[in-house]
Amino acid sequence: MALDKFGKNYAEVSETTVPTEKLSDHALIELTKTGDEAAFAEIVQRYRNPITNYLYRFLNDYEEAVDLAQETFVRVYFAIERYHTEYAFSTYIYRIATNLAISEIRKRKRRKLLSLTGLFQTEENSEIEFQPPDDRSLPDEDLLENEQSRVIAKAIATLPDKYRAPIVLRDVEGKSYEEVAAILNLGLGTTKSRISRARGLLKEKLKHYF
Amino acid sequence: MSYEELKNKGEESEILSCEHEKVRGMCGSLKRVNAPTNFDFHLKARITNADKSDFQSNAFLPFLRYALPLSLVLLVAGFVVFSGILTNNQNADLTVVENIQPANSAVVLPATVSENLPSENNSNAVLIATNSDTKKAISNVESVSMTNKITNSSSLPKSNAPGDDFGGTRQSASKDSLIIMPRGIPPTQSLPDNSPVNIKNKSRSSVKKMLQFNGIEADFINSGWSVKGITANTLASRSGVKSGDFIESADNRILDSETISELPKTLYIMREGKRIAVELK
Repeated sequence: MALDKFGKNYAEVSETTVPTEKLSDHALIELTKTGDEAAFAEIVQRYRNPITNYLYRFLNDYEEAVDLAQETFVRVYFAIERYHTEYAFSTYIYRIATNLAISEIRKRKRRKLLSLTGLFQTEENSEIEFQPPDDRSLPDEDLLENEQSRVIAKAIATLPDKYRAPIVLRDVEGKSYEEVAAILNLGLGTTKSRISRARGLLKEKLKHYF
Repeated sequence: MSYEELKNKGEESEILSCEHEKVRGMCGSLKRVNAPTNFDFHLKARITNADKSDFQSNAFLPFLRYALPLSLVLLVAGFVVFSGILTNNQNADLTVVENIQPANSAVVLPATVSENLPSENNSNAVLIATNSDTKKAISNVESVSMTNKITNSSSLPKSNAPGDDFGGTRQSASKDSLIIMPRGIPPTQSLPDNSPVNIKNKSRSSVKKMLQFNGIEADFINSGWSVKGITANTLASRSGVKSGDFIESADNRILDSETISELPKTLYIMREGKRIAVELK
């Protein structure tokens, strides 16, 4: 399959073929199934930033998040024939990303068991990998803002998997409860319960900011 | 209503909701990160270099998920059933051999055993082998039955190799649990310990038991057997052995006090100072 159009300016592509920017996700999927690379490029254009941001907040590791985001699109590309349009594409792609992220977390845990860094961890923050302190000086405003964001991100990263995914999808990505339930394949009540529980856990971890 | 106002009023449920709302606001305030500018380039490279087969689901995987354990179970069950049938067949083979009528059966006897048997027992006898000899015995019986020919013991090759099923010495024959039944006696019938058949199947048997089997009650005295009584209607009474006789030897062999290796045909007796020969018949 030729990928020549991939990464081009999509406005140029749309002049000669289909105005992909105006097409729905399902229409883009159908075009991709017929071999239209511009349609798949539009899908990537639409979801690369949300998926990268979601994975980054899930894993708290930018490089890993970018890698898994690319892996997510690779899987979507090769499994495009099996996608059924009765489900929202955003649900589909977020589910793939979530599964990859959970797999990555499990790999990390296995690696951590064999790593000497486990010697530096305690029971309370056993989910946080040991990070050497960053002693670089920053301007005060940036320092305060970055410090709060870093603490929040670390607090999210310390949540158990079953609470982390719902709260990131709901409070970071802004998905509705129904969407979160569909992505995680959970009941609506279970989803709300887990989100509430995750917020309670975060409140305890971030109590210095209340 | 602000957070501080709710907290002062002690409305715990609303305070909790507000705290959750604040947590949500903090999470939402996190700076969004975007994909790097070379995201598309690397993605294109990954798609180009990826092996499509790695991402395609195997259509047989759901089938194999159930088929493999099922086939394993069937294999084990088949083995159990087959082994059970095999055991039953072995028992059935033994039953077939036991049910063979002596009149319709061929005679297959080891050479040395048949030589030592009485002549009337050589004509019709059933050879039954157990365990490992079962199939060989069946094959021999069947092959001879098809030709409807009685195999004479003299026509058999004489083999003295140890472990040869139908040759060798009497000891080797007895080791293989060969039971030779005389005419008219069913193979399933058990015989008394003092039966001559059993005596012949043993390497050596008690002389006293042999004499008792022939109807002679005797005690061993001074290198011979003093006859104390004769049982009526026995081989000894028909042959003329009498109470008071002194059996010196049998078949020109001295009878010691312990064992005898084969059935005697002629007893040499001292009676009233005379040495006579009594043929047991």
